[in-house]
Amino acid sequence: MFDPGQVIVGLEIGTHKICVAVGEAGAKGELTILGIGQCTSRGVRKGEITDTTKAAEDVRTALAEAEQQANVEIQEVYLGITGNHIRCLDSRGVHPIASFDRTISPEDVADAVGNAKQFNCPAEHEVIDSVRQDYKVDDRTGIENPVGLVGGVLEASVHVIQGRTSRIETARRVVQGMQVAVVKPVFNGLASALAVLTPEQKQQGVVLLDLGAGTTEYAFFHGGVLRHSGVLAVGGDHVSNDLACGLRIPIDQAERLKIEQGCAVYDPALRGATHTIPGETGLAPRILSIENLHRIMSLRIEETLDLVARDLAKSDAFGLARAGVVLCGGGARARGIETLVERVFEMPVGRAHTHNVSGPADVLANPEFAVAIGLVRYGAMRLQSRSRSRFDLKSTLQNLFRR
Amino acid sequence: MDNPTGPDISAQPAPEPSPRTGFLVVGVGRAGGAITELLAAAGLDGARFAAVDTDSTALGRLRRTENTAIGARLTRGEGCGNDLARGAQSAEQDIARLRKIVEGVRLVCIVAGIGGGIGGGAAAVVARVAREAGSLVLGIAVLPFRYEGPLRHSNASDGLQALRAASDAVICVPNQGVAAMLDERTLVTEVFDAANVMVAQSVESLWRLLHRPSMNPLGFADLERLLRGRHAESVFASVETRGPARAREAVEKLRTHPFLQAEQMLVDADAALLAVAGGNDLRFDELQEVQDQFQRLCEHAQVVTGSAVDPALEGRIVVTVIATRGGASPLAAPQTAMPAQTKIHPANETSAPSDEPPMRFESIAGDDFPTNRSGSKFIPPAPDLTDSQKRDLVHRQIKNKHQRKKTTQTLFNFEVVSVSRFAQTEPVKRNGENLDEPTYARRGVALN
Repeated sequence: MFDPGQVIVGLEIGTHKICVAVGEAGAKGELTILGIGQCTSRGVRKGEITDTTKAAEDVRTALAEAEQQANVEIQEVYLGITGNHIRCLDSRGVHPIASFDRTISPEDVADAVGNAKQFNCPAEHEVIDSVRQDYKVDDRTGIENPVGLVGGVLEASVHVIQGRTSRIETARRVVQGMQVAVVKPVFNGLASALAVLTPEQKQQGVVLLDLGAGTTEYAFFHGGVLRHSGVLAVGGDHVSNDLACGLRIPIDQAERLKIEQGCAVYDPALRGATHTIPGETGLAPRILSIENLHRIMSLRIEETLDLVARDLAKSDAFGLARAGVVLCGGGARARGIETLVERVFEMPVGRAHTHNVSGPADVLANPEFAVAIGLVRYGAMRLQSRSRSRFDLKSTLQNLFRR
Repeated sequence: MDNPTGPDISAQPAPEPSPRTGFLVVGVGRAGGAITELLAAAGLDGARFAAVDTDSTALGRLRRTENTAIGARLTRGEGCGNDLARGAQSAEQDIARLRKIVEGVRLVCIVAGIGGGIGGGAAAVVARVAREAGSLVLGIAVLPFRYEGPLRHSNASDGLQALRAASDAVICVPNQGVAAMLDERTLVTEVFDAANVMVAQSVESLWRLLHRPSMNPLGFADLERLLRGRHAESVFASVETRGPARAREAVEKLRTHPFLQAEQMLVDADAALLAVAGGNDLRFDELQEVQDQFQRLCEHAQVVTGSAVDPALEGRIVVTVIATRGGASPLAAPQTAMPAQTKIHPANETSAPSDEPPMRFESIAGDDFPTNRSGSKFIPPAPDLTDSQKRDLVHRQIKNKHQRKKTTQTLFNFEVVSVSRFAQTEPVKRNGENLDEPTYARRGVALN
């Protein structure tokens, strides 16, 4: 039974940090964040766990911090999943309307959606989420709710997000090793979209760009439905690595320099500007060229954005996203990133704010917590829809992304 | 009042033309050749046109230029395949022929598509030869379009560095800027033609600047003063307008000129040369307006203005700008393929007096020609030696040179790219590229 005061926990095992958000859903679906726990991540590269021992230690620390802050005992979590193995695709399912009066019933809809999910999934992959897009009755497209319409053939389209089973299982085991159950793995891109996009934006058309440390996730909504999503396993870590290579400095120094001196756009006016970094372990201080720093950084970020833009162009996002691009993740803090995104996407750009959530202001304003908060929202919506359609267990998730 | 100097001036004979007044345009490589051909078709009088290429077929297509095929032994009349070293070697092989082309010319203008093997490799050698022969060398480097790929771009940056080191001044012409100026649906051939025409027009206006009679003339000396030793960036643009508001339009056109990077170059310029040319109807207030507006554009620059009247320009006004930015000190650029301080070559039979020894220093040969050049590091003072001493020195130099060549260390042409942080993970590949490698390394962006 749905308990109005139930605690929902989202866990994101990120490349730079592990983040736990503890939230509480009210009776009307409003969300309150009770606590946040985080820990610097050591065993994750490009969004995937490479060292389970270190990752487990860090997850434990983060969970403990969240438990303490929210004063709850965490028993189950929604687990954020990302990485190079994620595949997103659209699938269509057709169902002929066989009833005598040719009126579409909820069962017909369920069958069409069921057919849409019957697609060729590679053996080593599993479906993380399938999100209903819209329906087509005979040759009318873009129907949101076909129940009650009259027609011959019903076609449902579903956006399917799948990932490699072994990778998902690795993350799941790490969490389960701490006697915490995983309710469901959720794609990070979807979670952050839930946290920061408003229904109006989704209706108008919007691109969400989550610039993480290890990966860049993106999701495109239009007409209230998820049209396209994906992940590129290139992120802020790559920027740091490029800087470390190009400027010949240690990676941790590169990371610090990126945050303090970095800029996503290359400004020729800075030609000749330098920055002195103090020598470490007895080495002489080094003078670095700010021009090179910015150039390396802007080349990498622009390339990443270019690749994302190219993928989004396949679903015609550039013509339809009238609400522009929303940025979240740590990369959204980079200086000049808005200018660069605007140049590449040719759309208005804004930084993300979590909406319809209450909690500590600093947490909500922080673009880095979008995924964790989104996971809580995902959980809340799932519980809500479950309580509403108790008798129709088949359509638990399908109504989630309709609003 | 009696003015005794008046009649004297009018009675003075026209000044003796100096032995080096020629203006030579050398097109190096395919793009250079095509631009030179365009210029030759325009027919600038007093100018010579030459084309240098390894590709004999491409050379055969140029009908109006003095064509010189180089590196026949190395490339067998084919191109260089985007290999800078090959281009440079081809030029070195036929260095005597190159020397003959640039002989006795005052200003050599080298036009090259710097992204190619010949343009990037041979242009620097031609520049060096011309400079050694005592000419003022102006390089015009046409940078490749973006679509031409990372190899040509890295070639361009290497070639440009070599050309800068070898010539008095280099002007970069970004082809991509031309493309940006045109309608995006323009045909490929039209874009290439437009780019070539634009470079050709610039060179033509340079020639006009130097050769047309003018009220306040700008001569070689001004050009030299502006460009000499400034291995920094120079840009070059020329616009032509007509109609009643032509003066204002000309400045407006300059502001949006692709070569000036949307006036950014003017804002940054620290020295500029402005030449205004018009027909017989050129008014003083127009001159004034162009100068005022221009000076406002480049506030920090020291602007030298010249004006000229050319009856052929009736109803039009042509404004040419050369602007340089960056310090006056030469860049510490890497040496070109062969450092040539005191190069030795066989005596030139036509110009050498018969009592000279058969082998001699070029610096001595350089003294045969009166030249305005001063303080060039390529011309050391003539050593005061007897013939036998000279011969000794020559032999020693030959020996040294031989040894130096032997010990040249070759470098493998690849770079160790670090993916260290991601070594343990599955590489992220898109379009055949490993995205874990730094972007700047994959694109071949040179970090200075």
